[in-house]
Amino acid sequence: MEAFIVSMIVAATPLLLAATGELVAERSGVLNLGVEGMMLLGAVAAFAVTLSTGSSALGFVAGAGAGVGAAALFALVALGFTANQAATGLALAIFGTGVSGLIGQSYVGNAIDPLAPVLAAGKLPDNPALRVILGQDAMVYFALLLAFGVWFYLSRTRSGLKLRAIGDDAVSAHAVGLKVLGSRTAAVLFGGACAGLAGAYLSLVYTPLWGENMTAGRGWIALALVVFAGWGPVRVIFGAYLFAAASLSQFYGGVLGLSIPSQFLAMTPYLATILALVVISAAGARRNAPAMLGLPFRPDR
Amino acid sequence: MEIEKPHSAVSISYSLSPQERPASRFETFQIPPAFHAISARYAPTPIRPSRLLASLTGVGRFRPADSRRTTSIRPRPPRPPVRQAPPVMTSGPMPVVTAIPLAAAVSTPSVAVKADLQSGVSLSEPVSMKPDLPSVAKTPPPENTASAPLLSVRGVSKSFGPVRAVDAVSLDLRSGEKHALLGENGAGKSTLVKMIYGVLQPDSGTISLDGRALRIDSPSMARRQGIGMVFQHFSTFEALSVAENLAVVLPDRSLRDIRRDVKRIGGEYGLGIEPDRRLVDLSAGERQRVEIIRCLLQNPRLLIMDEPTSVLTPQEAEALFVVLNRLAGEGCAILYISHRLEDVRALCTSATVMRRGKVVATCDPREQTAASLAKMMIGSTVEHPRKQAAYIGKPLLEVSDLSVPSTNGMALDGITFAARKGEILGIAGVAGEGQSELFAALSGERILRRNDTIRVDGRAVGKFDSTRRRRAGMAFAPERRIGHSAIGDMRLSENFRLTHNATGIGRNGAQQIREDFDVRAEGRDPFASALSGGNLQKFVIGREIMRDPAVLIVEQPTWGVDAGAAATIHEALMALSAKGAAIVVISQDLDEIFAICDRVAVLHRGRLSEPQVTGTVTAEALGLLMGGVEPTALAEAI
Repeated sequence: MEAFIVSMIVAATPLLLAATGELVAERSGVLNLGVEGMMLLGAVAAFAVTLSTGSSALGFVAGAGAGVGAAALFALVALGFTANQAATGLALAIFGTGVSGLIGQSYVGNAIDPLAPVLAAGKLPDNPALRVILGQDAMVYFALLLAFGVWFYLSRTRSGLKLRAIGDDAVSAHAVGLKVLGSRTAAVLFGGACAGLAGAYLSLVYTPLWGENMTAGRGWIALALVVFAGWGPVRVIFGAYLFAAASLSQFYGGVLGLSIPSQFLAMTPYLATILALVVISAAGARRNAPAMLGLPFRPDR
Repeated sequence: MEIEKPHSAVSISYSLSPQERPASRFETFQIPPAFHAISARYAPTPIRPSRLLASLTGVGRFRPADSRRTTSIRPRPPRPPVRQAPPVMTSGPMPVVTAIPLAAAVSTPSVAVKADLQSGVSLSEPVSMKPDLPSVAKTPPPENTASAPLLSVRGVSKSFGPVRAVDAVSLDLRSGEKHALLGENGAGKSTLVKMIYGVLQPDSGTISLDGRALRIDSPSMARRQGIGMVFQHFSTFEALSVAENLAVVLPDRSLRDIRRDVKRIGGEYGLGIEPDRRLVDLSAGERQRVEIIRCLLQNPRLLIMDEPTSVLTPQEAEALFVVLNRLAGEGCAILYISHRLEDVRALCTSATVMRRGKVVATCDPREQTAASLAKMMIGSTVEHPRKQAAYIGKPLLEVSDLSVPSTNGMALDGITFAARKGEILGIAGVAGEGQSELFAALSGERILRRNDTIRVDGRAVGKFDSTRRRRAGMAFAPERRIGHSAIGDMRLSENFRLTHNATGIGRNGAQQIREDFDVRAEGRDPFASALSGGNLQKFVIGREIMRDPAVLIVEQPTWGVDAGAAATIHEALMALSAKGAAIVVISQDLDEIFAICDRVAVLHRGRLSEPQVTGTVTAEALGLLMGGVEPTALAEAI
């Protein structure tokens, strides 16, 4: 049981990071479907830097930087040139997959030391619950703090209010003098940084290896997670842990004595994604959905 | 061809066709000295925004400004009292300003007014009494320079692609002036004020405030300069609450303070807006209140109002005028955009008339008739529609005991009425009293429990959806043009099919409507979003009339539409009723109801009053019904 919870926490963290970043971008009204690509670029950059320097911290910085770079490309095309956001995001996802595979060719087969937990094993208390809670690496806590921070930012700060206003009605926001394109670009870059961190977590902690297309669709799950959570940062936390638990069922199904084919269990996270989207859409629970999500905004007129 | 009117205090000059006038010539009106003597008598009375809000509600609980409050009402730092002459004097009869402008005294009440009050000096003679006057000011000032313009627009132009939306426009606004900006839809009024408010940047020309040429590059900068604006198309955020909507533009006030202020004002003055309600749940009239509150909380010295009364009752409009008059008396300049000529004549002291992007006339609207103003606006006399005595026959639409529970809005309670063949039935009421719910129930967007609640020509249609009701002979034109009647990203031909597919896709009549209803737009088959409001509304009404319906339901058919388009729409509706259709007009515009309707009923808190013949009921009586006075009490009062 303890092992299951620990693996769930580790599996949930990249989902949580990526979904939190995407949530901010979407609340500003920008639909960036390129999360998968940004995660892969972040993963390969982080792995390369950590392999050559030996520092996980530098790796995470490089991962976030790669994500920001990819998001900047998206912002230039989708916000600067007002291209279709869905098409630009899809292109970014494919682009990231290809470029990361190209860059990562020479790193396949190398291994690094995974990020150590904050507290060494010897210092942990004997209580199993406390062991799980205190025995994680820094990024697990960072991801949770980030999600709460985003919740605080969106619901309690003036700047977050402006960001929500822009996502709700960019034309009105422009008319009352909010900087629509500036705020949206910042939100997209933040989303890129988070996706890059999520990718870095995969290649530095989750499986301390680089493999082509190693995100295995987690970027898409993160996108669905935002919808599942109804664009609420705190609900994203629950969603991420729920989806992580679902994705682990393929490994733990056998342990629990379920006679379900492993192929079926392997598809549970994706099935859960689709089910979540269907339920959410049918229930009409789009209360927090930004009204202008995915619509390009031209400041003229 | 120039027409001079010697009797008016302000000279009027306008040409009947804009081509006869060279584009480079600026027309500047000048206020005669006599006016300044009058305006100076309105010494700035201190007033708090909350007081202004009181009069917005029409409750009439104004208290006189008490004398203890004379110190600092507008917490703006005092500006230097001496203004330099405006640096941009390109052309036109603008005299050099040498005296202390009234604007300076008025707009810094915390210093100047207080001093004047203490020394007992009348504000009408501040010039000679100021000790720190520069020597140049002692030369006798030219006659009409008692006040320099607060806002001065000089030769401003703006183009969108090939369209010259604003063409070398000049106008001046002095502190305390109530200036109307008149023009048809598409005349360039909105573009002009958007440049003043910093939403758009002019291609050429200058905008100066207090004589200093400014580049107003954003609305927040405009607000810092003391320019506030209430938009025609509300710049509110549907997903946010009332308090959050205010907070977006009030960076230095905490959300808690704003929420408390809104609540306090609501309780104290009956403004009736819950600060935590989301805007998506509010009616158009309530949203406008939010916009006005938002503006007034920022203590503007220039307030731009874009079509403010279009969703207000006569009483509410009068209360708004009280607010605007007080603001002007305080020294705030008002730039008032309206199609409602009577409003302009009642409120404004000067007017600039625009047509096709150019200034075609400046005048004093109080000395004009509505007809002469309309003539300046559209270049030809508006034919005011007159209700013809139509044959009124059997009921075509019967609604009996229509009750709909509330979902985020007003519940409908036992609505019963009939609209007869050849009749136009008006349904009056303030915004948010159940109009949109009634429209949804009549149009089939809300399907009813009982089939016989609504009958069309005897046939029960209550359980029918919109398409089946259309097949039963109904047609609908809702209030919101883009997003409800028409889809902005679709071409006119596609929009035409949206309601015609119910009765079979035949010949595409979009072109026919454009010809029959004079729908002006660029291109062979433009997108609906490219049309101005009036032209799109003509298209929508034309589209429904072309279906030759037995029953037509229209909501706010001329909301925010210019006089010419409104006349076209009214004529079309009357022609349809003369052909034997029953028409229900849900409108907040009493003028409209009196102009075209045979009978009128009032919707108040989801209940409908007994319909009365428009010839026998007065606007005042209807206004009282709209304000919630019981019909029996009303009868006793009359």
